[in-house]
Amino acid sequence: MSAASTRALRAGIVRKRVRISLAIVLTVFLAFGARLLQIQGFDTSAYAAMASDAGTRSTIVPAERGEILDRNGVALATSYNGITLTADPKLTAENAPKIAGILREVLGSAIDYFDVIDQLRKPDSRFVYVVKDIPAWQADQVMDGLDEADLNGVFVQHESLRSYPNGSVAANLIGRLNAEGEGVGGLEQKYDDLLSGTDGSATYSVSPTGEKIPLADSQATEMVPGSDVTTTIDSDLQWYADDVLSQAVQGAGADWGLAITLDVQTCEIMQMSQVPTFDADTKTDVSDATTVSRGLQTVYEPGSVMKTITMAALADQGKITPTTPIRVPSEMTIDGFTIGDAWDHGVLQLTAAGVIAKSSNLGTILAAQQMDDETMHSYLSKFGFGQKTGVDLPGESVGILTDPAGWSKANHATISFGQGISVTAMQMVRAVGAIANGGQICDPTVVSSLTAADGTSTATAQDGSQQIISQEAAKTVTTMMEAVVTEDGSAPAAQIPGYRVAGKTGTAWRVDPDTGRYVSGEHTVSFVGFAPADAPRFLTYVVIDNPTAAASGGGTAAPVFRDIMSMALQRFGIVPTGAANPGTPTTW
Amino acid sequence: MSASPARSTVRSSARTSAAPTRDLSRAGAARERALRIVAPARARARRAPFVVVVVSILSAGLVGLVVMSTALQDQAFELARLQTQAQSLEVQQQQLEYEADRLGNPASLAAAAAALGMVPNATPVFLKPDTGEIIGVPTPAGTQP
Repeated sequence: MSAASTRALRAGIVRKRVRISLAIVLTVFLAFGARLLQIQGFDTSAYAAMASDAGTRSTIVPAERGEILDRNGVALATSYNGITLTADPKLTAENAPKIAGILREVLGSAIDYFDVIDQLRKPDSRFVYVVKDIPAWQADQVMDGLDEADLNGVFVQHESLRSYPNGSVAANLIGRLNAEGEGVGGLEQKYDDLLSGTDGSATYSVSPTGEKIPLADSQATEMVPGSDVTTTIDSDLQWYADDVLSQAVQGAGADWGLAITLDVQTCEIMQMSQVPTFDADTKTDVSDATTVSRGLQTVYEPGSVMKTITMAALADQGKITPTTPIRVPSEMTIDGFTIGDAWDHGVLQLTAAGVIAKSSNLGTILAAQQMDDETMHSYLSKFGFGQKTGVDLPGESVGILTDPAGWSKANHATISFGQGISVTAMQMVRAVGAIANGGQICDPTVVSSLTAADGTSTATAQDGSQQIISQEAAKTVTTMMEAVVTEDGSAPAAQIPGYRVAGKTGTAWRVDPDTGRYVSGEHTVSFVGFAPADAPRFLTYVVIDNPTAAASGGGTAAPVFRDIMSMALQRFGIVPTGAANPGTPTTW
Repeated sequence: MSASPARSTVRSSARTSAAPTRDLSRAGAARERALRIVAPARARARRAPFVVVVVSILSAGLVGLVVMSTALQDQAFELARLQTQAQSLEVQQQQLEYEADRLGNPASLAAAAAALGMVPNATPVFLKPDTGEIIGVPTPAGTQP
């Protein structure tokens, strides 16, 4: 081989090596270039986000839920900081009895010692709930105790808890929160949006150890706390009514009972009780039967209380006065149905006031025959039956008021004394409230004002009242109703010393909600009344459903009325006029 | 206005009359000495003060920065401590409110009153101050079941 050819060969090898090296270098640069393009060109935002995420932390600042207050500013529902304790069983299994011991020491019977140990030792798990929804101060004690004993593996989750300081008082009116923190029932549901406010958020830079870096970029959206809802409820009166009603319902062996008190001058609901109810604070006794709003959602036949409305319609047409004589037979047969009174009697000579005082069905039927179906229906509509009352609470029922075109003579007769028509208690309160308020009907309200977090207060709009019967007609019916609470009437137990009281009893046949038929021997007893009759201020309606056979409107519901009404008159300093019951004659 | 131009004229004529005399005497002295090349004058800006100033500004800045940063960090810790304290006080306040609300609710007050032997008065009697009239019959409240 010549030197020249050797040199040429070597040069060839070198060139080849150079080319290969170049190719390798180019490939590497190309790979770098491609990656650079990917990072800078295509995935820019993702990488930028990752970079900023590593050094920033975002938190939601939950808005404080507004309070629900009574008319004097006493908190009926309020919120406080709560904690849920969680644990990592990998860390706690070994010391489970010690940890459970500390929990037991602080929380007492709120936890089950052995259940907690089981949770803390749960195999193959790194997350368990130890105890949910405890006040922050108790959680602080637990964590301090664990720190002192140098026990690890228990963690805290912050949350907001709702407190109802009065327990079951007005529970149905206030409502409650579900597990998601949304209002269920009552004002918690009706005003959920306003009460919850708007959550805020905060984003800030943190050091690798989690400390906030001062003067670094931070963003914060202020949270807007929820508004406070001020109700028209008087919590003392409410508690007292709850107590009295509860005793009456228990004593009568009844299914349920309710009591509503209305300020007839302002149309504010002062108290709204029902039994049985639940305790929103301890979340006990929560069931369909206790959470239903009896005053708004339970529809029932009111019975004789409706006679006041029939008389009001007749009085407005000038067809009756308290002393109008009515000859009441012992029984009547209409459309083949025999209708009688609650007590056996021969032919009676009762005045219209006497018909109301003794609660005669037959007397009412005879009086009501002076108006036709359409007229009666139109008055019932004016008094708000078959419509919502407009009260600011959710889930209101409209009751059942059928079209007069389909009425038989028997329908006309029975509706006049409150059977064959279904109402809610709130409808009845509103209707009789119109009689108490000189013939003016208004929409009852339970909320007087809303106060935003900045302190600005807005009064809730009150719809104007409407004159539905004349003032004279209202006065006529009031006089008739005053005869009810005399010794001659059906409810002397409703008398309140010093005050003039007007009222009406009701002992209605009870409809079985499943079959839609009357159940023999079952009744819904009630009493509606207002005082002082000469200058009406408060109206109280008491309904007790399905008491034992011996119960009656006058004997069972009237004493509850008397107790609640006396308390209301005392609390609000209503001075008795000292005037005596007019003593309208009941017979002629 | 009219006086000032006249005055300036007087001054300038005085200067021109004095200047030529001095120039002539300097020109005479230069001619007596031989001209020689001299080394260019070195810019003799004194460095030391400048360096001192810069270094001290820098170190002051550095020290300031360190002090400020330390203060800020210190404040961050103080802030965290105070926030924790505020939180714990808030929790304490909530606990006290929670307890007070429950002690002050109507049921607790009624129970406490009953424990003291107090009974509700179901039949209050009213006295009309203007007429002296008594409405109702005064009766002892009696014992409750």
